[in-house]
Parts: sequence; structure tokens; C-alpha cells
Amino acid sequence: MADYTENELAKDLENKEYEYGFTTNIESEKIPNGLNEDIIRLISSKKNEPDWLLEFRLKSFKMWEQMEEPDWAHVKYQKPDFQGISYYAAPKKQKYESWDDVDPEMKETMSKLGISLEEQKRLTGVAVDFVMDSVSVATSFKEKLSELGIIFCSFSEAVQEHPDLVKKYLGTVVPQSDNFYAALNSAVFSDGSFCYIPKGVKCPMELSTYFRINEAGTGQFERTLLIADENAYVSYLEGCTAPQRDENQLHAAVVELISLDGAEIKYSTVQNWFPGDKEGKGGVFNFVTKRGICHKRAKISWTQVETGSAVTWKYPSCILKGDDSVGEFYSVAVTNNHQMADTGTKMIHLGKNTKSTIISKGISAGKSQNSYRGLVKIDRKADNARNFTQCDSLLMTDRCGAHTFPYIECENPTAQLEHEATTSKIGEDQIFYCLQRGIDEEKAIGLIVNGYCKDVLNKLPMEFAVEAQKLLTISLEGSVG
Amino acid sequence: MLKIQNLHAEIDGKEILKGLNLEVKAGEVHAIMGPNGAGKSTLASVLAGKEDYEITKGSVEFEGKDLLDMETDERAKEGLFLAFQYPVEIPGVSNINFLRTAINEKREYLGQEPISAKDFMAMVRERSKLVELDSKLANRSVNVGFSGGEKKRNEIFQMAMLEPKLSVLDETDSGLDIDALRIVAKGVNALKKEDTASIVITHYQRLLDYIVPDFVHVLYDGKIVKSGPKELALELEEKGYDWIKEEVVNH
Amino acid sequence: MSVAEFVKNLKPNNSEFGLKSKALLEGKDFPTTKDEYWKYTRLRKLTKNEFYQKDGSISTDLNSIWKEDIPNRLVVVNGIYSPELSKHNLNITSGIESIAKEIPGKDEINSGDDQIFSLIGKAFAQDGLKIDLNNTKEWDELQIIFVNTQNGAIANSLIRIKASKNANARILCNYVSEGAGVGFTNSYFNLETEANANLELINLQAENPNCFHVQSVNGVQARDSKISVWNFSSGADLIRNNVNIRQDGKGCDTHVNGLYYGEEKQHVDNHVFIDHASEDCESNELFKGVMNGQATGVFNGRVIVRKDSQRINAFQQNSNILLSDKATINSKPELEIYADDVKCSHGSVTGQLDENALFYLKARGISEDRARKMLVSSFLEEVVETLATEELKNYVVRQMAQKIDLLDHE
Repeated sequence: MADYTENELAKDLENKEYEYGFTTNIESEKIPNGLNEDIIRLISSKKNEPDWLLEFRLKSFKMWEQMEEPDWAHVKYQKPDFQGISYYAAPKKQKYESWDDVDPEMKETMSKLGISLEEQKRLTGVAVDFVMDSVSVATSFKEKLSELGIIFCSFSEAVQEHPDLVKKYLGTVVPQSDNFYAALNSAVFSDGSFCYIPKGVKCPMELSTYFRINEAGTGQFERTLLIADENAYVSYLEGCTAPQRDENQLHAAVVELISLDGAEIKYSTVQNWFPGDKEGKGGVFNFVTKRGICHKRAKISWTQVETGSAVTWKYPSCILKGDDSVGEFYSVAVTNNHQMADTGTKMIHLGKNTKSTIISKGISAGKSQNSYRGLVKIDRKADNARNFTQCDSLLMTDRCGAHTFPYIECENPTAQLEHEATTSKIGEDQIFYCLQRGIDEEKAIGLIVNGYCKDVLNKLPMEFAVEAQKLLTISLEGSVG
Repeated sequence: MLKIQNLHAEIDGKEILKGLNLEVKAGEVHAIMGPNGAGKSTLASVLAGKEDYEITKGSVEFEGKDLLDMETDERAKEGLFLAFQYPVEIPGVSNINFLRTAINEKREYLGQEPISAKDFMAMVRERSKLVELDSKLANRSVNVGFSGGEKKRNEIFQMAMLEPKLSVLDETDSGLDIDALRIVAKGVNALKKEDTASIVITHYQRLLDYIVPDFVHVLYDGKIVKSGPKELALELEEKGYDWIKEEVVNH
Repeated sequence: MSVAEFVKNLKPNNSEFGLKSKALLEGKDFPTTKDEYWKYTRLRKLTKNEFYQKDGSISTDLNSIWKEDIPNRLVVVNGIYSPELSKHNLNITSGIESIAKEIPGKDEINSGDDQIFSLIGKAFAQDGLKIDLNNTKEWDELQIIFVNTQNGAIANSLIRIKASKNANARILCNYVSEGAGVGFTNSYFNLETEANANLELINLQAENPNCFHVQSVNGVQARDSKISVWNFSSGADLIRNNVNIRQDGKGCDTHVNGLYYGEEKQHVDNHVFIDHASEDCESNELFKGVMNGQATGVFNGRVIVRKDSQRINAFQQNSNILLSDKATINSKPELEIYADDVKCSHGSVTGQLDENALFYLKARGISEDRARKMLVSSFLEEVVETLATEELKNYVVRQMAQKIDLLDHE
């Protein structure tokens, strides 16, 4: 509709306040800003960590000091001042005896997020490990899970209770030296989630964690380690939000997945960190390293719906090491206003008969820049590897950008690789068709955009899919240029 | 029901409709024929409210209201339906979801409760039979992967579901084989009621063997230059449009 | 490695733009695989050699190369125009000074990190050719044979081609080497099309497998003009082709197509950069490669649609076949889009010969060898088919078949 102009779009979008931009007023303990060996020792001692973990942190810090912040991504931002960040914040009151002991304000926060534990307990049977800032404050369903031998707890707890498992797998998929932010995370990570599914066990419920950056001036450096032992199965959900603040908040997480022989991990993310205001002020810098390794016949499936963050730099990847392993990446990335996203995946085919699928749907609105960057690499020995990649971009205005940077590297003649990409404007004729059937503009765009993303949304677990659809619609209300 | 007076419309500064007059009453079927480029499809687009066209003069009254003053979706909610010449594909949006949204939007507009899922599904089953549309198509994305004939049948199916007062069929017959044409016509005829009306825009007389019009109009150079009973269509088929052109020139 | 070391034996020309270019090379190193646009190409095997400027006399018989029906023929030996071997009736002038004013020191198009070689060409070329084309009634056809006599010869060729308003011109370039020694051909083309002009440039690279070839084609188009470039690469140890085209007016059309074949340790790298700087334009890229032996093929297609460049259609397609388990393909089709009313797409497919088709052919009594040839040829045919005339298609296939055993030509 020629006359539904950009101006109107811009107005609609700018008026959209960040829904989750509230802060929780609970007392929290913060250590001084800055980063040096003493701070790391302090973090480690506060968490009562064993020596090997302190060593791991210190070694990472040394590596990080030698590294430079990468600038190859198609994003522009003011580099964070790493000495101006507090690397540890925890709600002061810890150790809740029961759900009733949990700070009411925090419960309120959770219910605003739509993930009230009580409600979830009753309705969905999802076990939630809620990470506010850095320390895990509430977990549920633990007993039920432990009957099956499943370990699902905060990372700190795992360090105390299951040090052997942590020591065995930490840093094996994302080495400390992997990249600047992974090194930083390895040095200062405060908490996160740990999950272990024993041999042959199918986790009977979706495991879920909610991340939220609360304290002003804190970076969140959580660490997730998820191990599915032979022939195990788990579906893991991760949601992210942050309150609205003027300054940029740094989020540099590391997620490592280990899918042993015959195991399957489904990892779903709905990310809605504060994207900054309409002027591009504030918002979260989301520099995340997510990677999984598949052993024989194992499978890892990443699904993400990303609508938040001022700057995103994220490539959930699969190393298909074992023969007959499978990697999948399904992504919807929406950028609006001044957001910048450089996101995609890496599929590294090392084993024989390995398969990967990449479906990426980018939507750019406002003045945002949205890039897909993906690597498909077929190693010399990866006979009969298969990859299918489809990456589509949808443009909403003439001030935004949509970019595609695929890297396809093939060293094996038996591989079959297919890559398709399209970029197009949201179809005026589609909108007109809907209007003619009596569906108003906003609903029409909702329909078309959700239809466009359907292949990805279908991969999300049901309760997440509903939330994701809502998020998409909110992010793009009335947004056609 | 519909009263078009001295309608002028242009696109990119080029005048296509040049003073068109037409009145349609409830219960009537009007056929509009004419050579290529006469403005037939423009008329359909203008009635539906496509904004590429600029109305420079004239008025269109629909059920006593000023049609040109309404947004496209408002016109649809008021009961105007356009069967598209080229139905649009909307990937990922199922026909069912699309129709339910459309029906509920209209009901909300009219101050009615949303339709229950049960009633809706019963309606889908019943009305898809009307155009022999495979019920599997109802679950597929709107028009995606439909054959030409299926798309046109889907248009008539949507028409049946949305129960419009006035339907404008824009070259619904073009590109159809004879079997598909019969099915489409059967659907249109079955939907004919005393309080509804249709405008059938076509290039070919053969459609009018199946959908019998009360009036036939010839659109030429942006105006209706000749109107008559259904026999006029036969005359056009026989003699072509040249004699009309001559008549116009001689005026 | 420093450029200064590489050019130490070379004498700069003293033209103004030559000196400017030389100054721009000051202190520069060759790009490495850490540079995004050289990620898949190591220059070491080129830069470790010593190269010298040589004069232009040859003993090769060029008769098997001339395409008979083209009336205008030019010969360039080691970058130096040879009037006695050439004959033409076009508006052509030679000498560095002839082009000095028309070619800027810096490249016209900022396409990433591929300037080093065009700067070397401009600084150290001993000659230049300026070709003005203005036939608005029919096609001007011109064939240029570039010979490298080797023994370490560096052939810096500078060619400036201008197609004036409404002109139609087709230029066929053959690159050959005399003998089997080490030589480096560094060719630089500056193309300009005025309004509504139509310019075709067809490159056939068929040097011996010890040669190196870097080619930079820089084109700027005025409104409604069309530039089509073809790169047929079957020779040389290392080939790097850059085609950089900027559409400076409305309604431009750009086609860049390529066909590349590599065997043994050959390395063929095609970079295409299309800068959609105007509205209502179109671009098309089709590149197909077959890699055998330990060869590596690279395709990097980059399309930028600038802000306000509305109604752009841009298509890229890259398809590859790997015939050997030691061969490698790296494909990087990029889209950078800053306008919204665009239709852009790219596709990249990598696979092998269809085993079922192979079996089918054999079952019909066709030998394995012959069947493979047929399949490779049919795979590559799509690119050949984009050429304008049947004679040209036949000529190109015939020439390529001399280098590629696997090409079927009847």
C-alpha cells in the first residue's frame, strides 16, 4: 500500500516501548568495576571454586589480554570499556529454603516475563532454572529429574556437586582461545546452567532457563554446559530479556553442547534483550559463542528467534565429528530501529554421511542492519556429506539493510551442497490481497511475517512458539515501508 | 446497491477510466466485456481500492455509502469481494488461518462474536464442496502450489465463506479449461441470492454461457459505450469489437 | 611479502599516473589469507618468483587462435602492442601516454583489496592501448591475442576501452604463452560505456600451467548501457580474476559469466563485484566450475545495492563439480542490500557428476570416458550458451577443448 508510508511505520515502531523494560529493586551485591587477576580471584573465591577452575579462569584471562576485539562482523558500535564493567553481581539474599522465601519482587519480575514458576509448574511442567543476573535463584522439578539421574542445576552448583563432569567437558567445544569474547567469558563467567542427561535417558520435560540482566553496569557472562550422554535426549529452552537502560550492557555468554553417540539435543532460544531506544541509545551488546559437538549418529538442533539486542554477534554452530551425525540451525532474526545483527551458523562436517540444514529468515525494519553469516565446511574425509541452506531476507523499509555472507568450503567430491538465498521487499500485492478480504494492515503484516517465518517457528516447542509469534508481531507492528 | 457516476481514474498520470457510469441493483448479474486495454481490470482494482490508481473525478456509492472514502479492508468488511485475476500467493499462511482471520475481522467490524472453531470448520467442509476444492488445499498456504484452476476455485471458495453483498469477478474465467470453468460457474451460480449482486468482468463470451447475466456492458476506452441484454454478448463474440469501435468513432 | 621486493627488477614508466600508482604501492605488502578478499588464495607461489620486463617479439604461429570472421586483430606481446602483427580499422592508439589521462591512479571502484595488482600494472606497464568504439549501426568486432614469452616475463597490459553512445562492440581476448616456462600476465582493463552502449568482453585464459594470471576488469556504466564479461579459464597455475562494475546510471544491465576448470595444483579464483549505484538496474552472474586433481576453485560474488538504488534485480549463481577427492571448492556469494525495493537472489551448488546419469549412458553402450565428457560438457554448456552467436560458442568450446580433455566438442 503505497500510502501506508514509512513515516507511519516509523511512528508505529518508535512508539513501541520495550515491554520488559522494568528493573527489579532487590538488594544486590556488586564487586568493584574493572578486570584484573585480583577480580578474577575474588569472583572465584566468592564462588568457593576449586583451584583447577581458578587456573582455568586465570589462563583464559592471560589469553584474553593478548587478543583483540574482532571487527570483521558487519556491525558498528562503540567498543565496550572492559574496565568500566562490574564482573559480578548477585542478589544479596541467597539460598532460598522454599519457593515462599523467594523475594516477592523477583516473583513479580518473573510473572511480568510470563514465566512465573508457579504458573509454569502448574500448567506446563517446565522446569525452570531462573538466572537473574548471575546467580541461580530458583530451580524446580529437581527431584523429579534426579530420579532419572538427570542433573539440571546452576553452573556454580555443578562445580561444587559434579566437579568431575564439569572438569571433563568445560572448554572442550569452545576452547578458551576460541575468540575474544569466549576468552573473556572463560575468565569471568559468574554462573549459568549445567545439564547432564545420562545414557539412554529421554528427558521427559522441556528444560528451561531464563536469563535476565538486572543490575545497571553489569555484564552478564553466563556459561552453559549441556551434556547428553549416549542415546540420551533433551530439549532445552532459553529465554533472554534485560531491563531498559541508557547505557549499553554487555552480554558475552558461552554455551557448549556435547551430544555423545546417538544422543540428541534440541536447543531453543527466544532472545529479547533490550534493543536500545528509537535513537539507538542503550541496549544490550550480545556477543555470544554457542557451539555443539556431535559424536556418532548424534544430533544437535539450534532454533532461535532473535528480536532483541542493540548489537548481536552470534553463530550457534555444530561440529559434526561423528559419522552419520546431524546438525540443524533454524533462525528468525528481526532487527528494527538502530539494531545491528550479524548472525548465522557454522556447520563443520568432519564425519562421514553427516547432514546439516540451515534455514535462516531475516527481517529488517527501521534503520537496522541485519546480516546472515554462515560457514558450511566439508572436510576432506567427510564422505557423502549433505548440506541444504536456505536464507531469506525480508526488507520493510528503504533505510534498513539486509546482507548475506555465506562461506561454502568443500574439499570432498562426494558432498552435495545447496545454498539458496533471496532478498525481497514485503509484498504489497500480498497485503492488498489480505486487505481485500477485510483483514486490516497490521494483522495482514502479522500474518505474512509469521507465514514467512513458519519453517522456523514450527521447530520451536509449543509454548515457546506462541511467545515467539507474539514477539514477532510486537517487534514489527504496522511495519511496512 | 452500486452506483458509479462519471468515474475518472488514472495511473502514473495516464487516464484509464474516462467517465464510467454503471448502476447495479440487488439480485442482478452484470457482465462487463471489452477489448484489451479498455480499462476492465482497472475498474475492478478501483472498486477494491488499490492505491496505485488515482480517482480524479466521479463518485461510487455502495449501499448508500461513499465507497471511495473507505479503506480497502473497510470495503471488504462492508461486503465487497474481488475475485482476483491473478490470486496472490502467501507462503506459510494457511488458507484456513487466512479465512478465519478474515471472517472474524468482518464479524468484529459488524459487532458480532467471533465464529466458533466448530462452526467454522463445518462451514469450510460444506462450502469447499461447492467448488469441489479438495479439503487438503484448505490446510495449504494461501494459493501456494495451487494450479491455475485451483487458485480460481479458491477465490470462489473464499467468496462463499465471506458471503459478500457484491462480488466482482475479474477475468475469473481466463486460463481455465472447460471443466474448471464449469465448476467455477456452478459455484458462482449457487451463491446467487436476491440480496446480492455480481459484476462479471470477462474477455470471453463463453463464461456467459454458464453465468447468465442480466445485463451486458461493453467497456471501451474507459467508458461504457454500449449496454444491452445477454444477447449482446453473443453479438460481440460473433462480430468482435471492431463494430463497436466504429460506432464510437462515428458518434 | 613486500611489493617492493617483487618489483625490484622492474622499471617504472614515467607517466604521471604511473608514478602516482607507484607511490601508492610504497610500503605495501601483498594481501594474505587474513584479508577477507584473499581468504582462499595464497599468493606465495606467484610472489616467490622473480619477474622481468621483456621486449615484444614472438615466433609462435597465431593462426590456430584467430577467429576467422573477426576483421580486427591486435597482438600484444609481454604487454607491448605489436603493430606489425596487428591489422584493424578501428580507432586505436598505443603508448602509455595515450591512456595516461583517462585512467586514474586509484581504481575507479573500491572493491576491497584487489588494487595491488592494478597498481603494479599501472606503475610498470611499458605500453598501453586505447580503444574507442563508436559503431552505432552494427557490431564492431575485435580480437586481441596476448602472448607471454616467459623466461620470467611479466606482461603488464593496460587496456582502456570506451564504447560511446549507442555503440556496439564485442572484444575477444586470448591469453597464451609461448613454451612452458614461468611467466606472469597482469592485465588491467578500464571499461566505460556511455548511454545505451553495449560492450562485450570475452576472455579466454589458456596459458601454460607454469604461468600466473591476474586480471582486473574495472567498468563504469552510464544509463541504459550494458556490459557483459565472460571469463573462460583453463590455463595457468594461478588465476585471479577481478571483475568490478559500477552502474552509474539508470537502466543499466550487467552480465558477468565464467567457466573455470582446474587440474593438478591449479588455483582459479573469480571475484565479481557489482555495485548497484543507480536505480532500475539489473545484474546477472553465472559461474560454473569443474575441479579435478588437487585443484582449487574459488568464487566470490559480491553484490551491493546502495541506498536509494530501488528496483534492482540481481542474481548470482555458482555451481561446481568436484571430480577428485583432492580437489577443493570455496564459494562465497554475498549480498549487501541497503535499498528495499529489490529482488536479489543467489544460489550455490556443489556436487559431483550424476552417477545415475553416468550409469544410464554406460548402459546405452557409451564408454565411461566418453560418458564423463558428455556430462561435464553438458554441465558447462549453460555458460557457453550465454554467448551471443553460434560461431562464438563453437569457437570458445574448440579453444577450451584444447586445454580441457574432459570437454566434448563435436
